[in-house]
Amino acid sequence: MKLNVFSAIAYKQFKDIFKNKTILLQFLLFPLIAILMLVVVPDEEIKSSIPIMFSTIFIGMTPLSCMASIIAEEKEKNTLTALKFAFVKSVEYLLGIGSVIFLACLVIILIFSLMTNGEILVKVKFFIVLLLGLIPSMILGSVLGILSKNQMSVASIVSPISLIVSLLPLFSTFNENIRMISRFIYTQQINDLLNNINNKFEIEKVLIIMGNAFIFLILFAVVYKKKGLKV
Amino acid sequence: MSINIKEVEKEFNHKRVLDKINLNIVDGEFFGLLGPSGAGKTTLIKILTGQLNPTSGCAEVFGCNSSGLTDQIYRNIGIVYEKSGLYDRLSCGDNLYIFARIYGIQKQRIYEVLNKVGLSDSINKPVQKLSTGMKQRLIIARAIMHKPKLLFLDEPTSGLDPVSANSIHNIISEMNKNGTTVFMTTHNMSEASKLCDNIALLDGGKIIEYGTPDNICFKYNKNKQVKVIFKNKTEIISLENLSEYLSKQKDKSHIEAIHSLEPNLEDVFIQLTGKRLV
Ligand SMILES: Nc1ncnc2c1ncn2[C@@H]1O[C@H](COP(=O)(O)OP(=O)(O)OP(=O)(O)O)[C@@H](O)[C@H]1O
Ligand SMILES: [Mg+2]
Repeated sequence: MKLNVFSAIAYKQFKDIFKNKTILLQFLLFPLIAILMLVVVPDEEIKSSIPIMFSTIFIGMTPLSCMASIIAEEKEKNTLTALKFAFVKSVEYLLGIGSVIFLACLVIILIFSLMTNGEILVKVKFFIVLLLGLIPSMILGSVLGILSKNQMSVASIVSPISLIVSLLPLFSTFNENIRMISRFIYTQQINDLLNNINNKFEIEKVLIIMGNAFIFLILFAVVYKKKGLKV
Repeated sequence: MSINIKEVEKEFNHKRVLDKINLNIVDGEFFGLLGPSGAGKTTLIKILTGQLNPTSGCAEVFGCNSSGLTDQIYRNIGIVYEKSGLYDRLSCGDNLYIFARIYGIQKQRIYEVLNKVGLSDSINKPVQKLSTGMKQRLIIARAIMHKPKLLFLDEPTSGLDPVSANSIHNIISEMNKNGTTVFMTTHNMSEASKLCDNIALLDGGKIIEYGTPDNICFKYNKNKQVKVIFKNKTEIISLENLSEYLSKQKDKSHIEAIHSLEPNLEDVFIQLTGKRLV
């Protein structure tokens, strides 16, 4: 891995993130709605659930679909081939764009953490839980990006998957059967951890999240080995 | 030797697209691969640049098998292919800066190449606001920024107006004069005759003719006629009779010009295949 190549890709992604309206919207939408609702909703109990709800949706949706759509767009527009000709390695590429998306997500989850009311320790715990969820989301997004041919096809697989992943915790509150399944999904565990942020971390929940990340990582290794970043 | 192609064949689902291609391209040569749509030109470039593997045979670039080109080889080649990708939302300057950084090239070189392709004024313009011709020039700027020894151009002027095409011809022919080997595909015959040292005519995956543009045209000059243009008329005379014809003219000052009438590459192609090129 060459540092100049990594930083070139990161530079590209950093510049593009402010110009790509769909991606920018994905980042700003959920925190903005959350802030808006904090302002207008009077009920304290609902108020305290707002950062939890929207940060869970954010974690399930934004990192995943951003990674997938960036990779798919570069395939479709042939910029990935141009990078290949400049002997950019797939690892350098993925880490380059991944690092920028990761940092941007950090900013947003920091904002969500600051929205919670509670002492500083609660905010830190909130931040760490979301950070934990960021990892499986980004890996899954990369898998979907590698699998897809172009932006059209990425939309058709990413939308249902990210909707399921991010909204399952919400639906599971209404239905016991959904909850049976959703407890194996990382976003459900994130949501649970955030809802019980004042209690001590249940290691089982953390393990499920890590387990998710691990499964996605294996999936990633398989598709990466098979397809790499071939167009 | 820059490129060495031996018995290369390519099949897509049992359909043969390239058939026993043999070609050598020496250092400093401007080579043109001509053929109609679907002849297999892009496929051959893809094989040479390591995007596709040949079904059989072997292609070498700078002595290295094209299916396993090393970073060192890639460092010495520049590629302009159909639908080359640019970052639409980023500026011209940023598009080049990313690659300058990857190649480890000084920033100064960005201004140099932008100047060369006549885009200095557009350095801060986002790519999506450029015309097709400007985009193509930017792609060429990117391909030559690292001073490659070998340049692959897949239809570099297709879809461009004559003025843009001409400016691209000037850029690449200057590169070639400075020693860069060029491998260009095109279905534009006049472009090929103007620029290329050697050309190969490709049809249905086979090379049906190879040589310098002039030699190919002379080879198929069956009629051997010349056109004599007078102030008020033109006449077509066979070459054999030309000197006799001229000696019979009392007042030679009426003759404006004498043109040879060998076929152009387009005519040769039609003669050989019965098909038009475009
Ligand atoms: N990936 C592929 N799978 C199947 N067939 C292909 C593939 N790529 C090219 N072909 C076929 O190979 C033939 C040659 O295609 P190629 O793109 O090399 O032609 P070309 O000479 O570049 O044409 P054009 O001037 O239109 O660019 C065509 O018949 C095309 O349909
Ligand atoms: Mg082609």
